Amino acid sequence: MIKIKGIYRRHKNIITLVLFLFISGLLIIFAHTGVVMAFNNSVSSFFSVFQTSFMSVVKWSSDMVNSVGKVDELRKELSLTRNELMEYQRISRDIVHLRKENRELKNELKLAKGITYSYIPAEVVSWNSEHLFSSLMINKGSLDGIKKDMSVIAFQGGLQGLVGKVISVNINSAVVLTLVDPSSYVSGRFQDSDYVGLIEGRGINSDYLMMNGVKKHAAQEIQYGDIIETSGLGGLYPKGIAVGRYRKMQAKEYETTLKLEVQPVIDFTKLEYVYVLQGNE
Amino acid sequence: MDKGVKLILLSLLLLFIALLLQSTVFAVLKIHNIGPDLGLIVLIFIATSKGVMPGQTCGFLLGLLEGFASGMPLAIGFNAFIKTILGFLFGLTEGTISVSSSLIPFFLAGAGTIMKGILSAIVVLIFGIPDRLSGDFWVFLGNIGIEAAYTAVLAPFIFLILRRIKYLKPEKSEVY
Repeated sequence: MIKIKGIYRRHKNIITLVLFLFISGLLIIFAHTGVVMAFNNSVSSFFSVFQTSFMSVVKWSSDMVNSVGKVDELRKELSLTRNELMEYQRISRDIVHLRKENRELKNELKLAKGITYSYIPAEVVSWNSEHLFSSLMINKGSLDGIKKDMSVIAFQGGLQGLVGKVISVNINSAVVLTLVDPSSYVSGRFQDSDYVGLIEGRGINSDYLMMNGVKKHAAQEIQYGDIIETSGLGGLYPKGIAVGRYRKMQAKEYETTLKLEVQPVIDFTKLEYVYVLQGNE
Repeated sequence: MDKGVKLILLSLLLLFIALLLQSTVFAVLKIHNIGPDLGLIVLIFIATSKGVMPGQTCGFLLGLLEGFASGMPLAIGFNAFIKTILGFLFGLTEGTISVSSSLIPFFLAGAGTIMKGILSAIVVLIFGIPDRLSGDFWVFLGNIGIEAAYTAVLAPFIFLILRRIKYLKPEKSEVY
């Protein structure tokens, strides 16, 4: 026994080394046995508790450090996203507008088939800002076949109504003098009773036209809301285009003719598309 | 409590902390998916400062801890085998190398990592563990090189911290 102790004392390092290596070897050979695996599972679970806690601290610190750079990154991302959002909002608005335009054009097309004259469709691009609604500009000109004195009509409320006439023509645009302009004169006729008169504009401050020279006895026949259309007399405008509706009579006892207020068929505030008449088909 | 037992307990604690850092902080700071072996640095310090018995004992314990930390049963014996040998070998240098130098830890850690790689290959061949060395030999060599460099770079800083611990300071007679 003393001899063994003596040997151990002299060679304890080597003996311990061999012992450790032997145990390690056994652990390698029997690594997949139940005992080793169970022991491994329990100890590694214990270890993982510390790893998880430590890792959460590490992650928090790492996030804190990264957040400084992240703020700048997020700021740029936000700016890009905002720009994208504005773009999408613009596209969305365009879509709504295009849908409306499409509906209106379909409607116009349906109504335009009722026109007996050949025509050039055009879009209103601007109004004369000094005398609002007295004249307007359309997006067709001489290149499209537009000529001076051509009649211009539009569709509203299911009716084909007179807008005015072309007074000047450019290459790509033209100016249209509307009915409401004080210098505008149209020969009109009651659609049902054939009474004729001269319709003149009253400027932008008035919401009606004045029909003059109607025979006095027409007062017994004409009724509120009767449609007045172009008579075709004088050759300025084609016959049969609606101008307005009879609204009110302004007659004085001593006058021999009637003065009638005529509500225009066309609401110029809502005018977008017009048709320039080229003449009979 | 016996001085030797205190040393072993302290070493166990340091090894535990080193493994914790290795598997959390340095798991995030890997280079080409390779991290440093902080446990090995601590082992080398203890072995070179305190000798063979503490060195191989800490090596054995380090191997066991690494195995448990990895969760793989095979790694327990595998790492214990290799680290025991390394602890023994570095323990033999006690009294011949000064741990107070800045450059020595760098070379010791680099050499220790390379030795670990070579021992890994030998253990795989001895015990016939086929999949541990699967893959390209040059990739294996490259990985050892990266690990050796990474470990070597950190060693001087860790040695600096460990030198401050009272129980790990070499005896006056051990300082050259």
